[in-house]
Amino acid sequence: MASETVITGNHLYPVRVPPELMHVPSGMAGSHFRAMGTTISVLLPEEHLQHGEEIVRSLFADWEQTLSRFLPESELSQLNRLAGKPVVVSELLFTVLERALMAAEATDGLYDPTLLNQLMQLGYDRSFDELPAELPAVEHSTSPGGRWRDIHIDQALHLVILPSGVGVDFGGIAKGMAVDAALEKLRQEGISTALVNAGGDLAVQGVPVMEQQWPIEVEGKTQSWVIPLHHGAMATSGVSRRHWKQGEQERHHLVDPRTGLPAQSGLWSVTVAAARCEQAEVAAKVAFLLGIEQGSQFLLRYGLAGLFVQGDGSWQAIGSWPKEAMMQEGEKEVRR
Amino acid sequence: MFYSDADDPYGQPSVPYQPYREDFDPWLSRSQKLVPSTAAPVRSSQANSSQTRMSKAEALAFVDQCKRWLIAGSIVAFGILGGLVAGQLAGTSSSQAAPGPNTSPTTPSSGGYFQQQGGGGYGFGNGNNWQPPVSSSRTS
Repeated sequence: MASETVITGNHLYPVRVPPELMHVPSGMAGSHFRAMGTTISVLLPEEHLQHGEEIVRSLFADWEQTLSRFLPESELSQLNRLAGKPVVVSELLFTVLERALMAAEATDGLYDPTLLNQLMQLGYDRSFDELPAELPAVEHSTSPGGRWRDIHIDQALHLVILPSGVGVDFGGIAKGMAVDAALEKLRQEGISTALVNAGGDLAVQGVPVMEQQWPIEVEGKTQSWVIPLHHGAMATSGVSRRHWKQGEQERHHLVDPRTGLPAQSGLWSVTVAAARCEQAEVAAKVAFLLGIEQGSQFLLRYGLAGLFVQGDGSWQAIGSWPKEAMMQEGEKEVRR
Repeated sequence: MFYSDADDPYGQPSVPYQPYREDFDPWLSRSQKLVPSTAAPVRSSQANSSQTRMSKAEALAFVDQCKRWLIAGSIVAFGILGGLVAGQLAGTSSSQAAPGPNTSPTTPSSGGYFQQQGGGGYGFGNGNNWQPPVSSSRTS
């Protein structure tokens, strides 16, 4: 990690800069903590740091306790164990499930919250931090997704009936929604300038004093770029981190519901900018599954901007993505 | 029933009974109709003092003309108002279809789950000046 550095003009920084080493704009302060299996970072005006951090930390703790599939006593885990039976759930779980079903509908099932069994069969049956790099080969039959269509929900009663044998894993959408909810909560508390980042899924509101934008590092395969985000959200889906071997098979966490297997789109990562982090998260994942050609069409259809990084390190910017920032960063070098 | 009109040289009623004027005049409210008229005796006594005063028939004709102008004016005003409202709606639609330079574009499919405008959209700043990153979007 320490040997990975990027040189840009007079600037020198590691490729994978830890959040606590990121630049902090004047008048702002940062805080970092672990939740939802990743690092949560917040940037807030100095005078609001303590109060704002408490708000965000509390929100993420609540969401993790409710929505994590890795916590046996979480409400989601209990719901999964009761598949086939009607269950009255909390407003939070119901809201996230409802949004997940909307995302599935909007993407024609390419985002699928009912791939838990497929992920378990592929070996992703525990928190990624606890997952070994190599797992023994397992004989199993693969099955495509799509069972989200059989979930019954009653909005008035907050009643959910999962199909028998089906489990829910929200994936990144829960993190994205938590980021959006955290910003909304900060706004309600009168904190109008903030950045919340949940392991790479981030959103901003306002702009720091003396600044005109939020410079965001976007990581490629062989280099990184600094993208000036003014408002909205950004999320990245890719295979650079959550991958492992199962026997002789390379596995990663981005399962294609059409096959029930890890996607083979030839992409390294897709980063998407959208109004809300939830949208950016879902769109990045779907674009990754679709590949560069159909994924580009998908982003353009919804007026989204994105960056596709291919397996060979080349990239393609889509929509209003600021290519000028990418070109300027061409001076960068990566030392490994 | 006829009006007794002192100005009528022929001793004939100047205007025949017209019940719609009393019962169905749309420009008068019910309460106005119920107010008893006390003007007639006064007019009779004042008639001789003014040679230029309108006759009853002229007054009613004048009122009828005023009503016609009022109806015509109302129709014209309604038309103008309707035109303004339609123009405003068209202007709003066209302005929504023209995004600013730094905002997310509106597309025909921008509604629904991926709607961008409703959430305030997204936008990029100036990418010409490199700045150190304050945060990172990466595969988590």
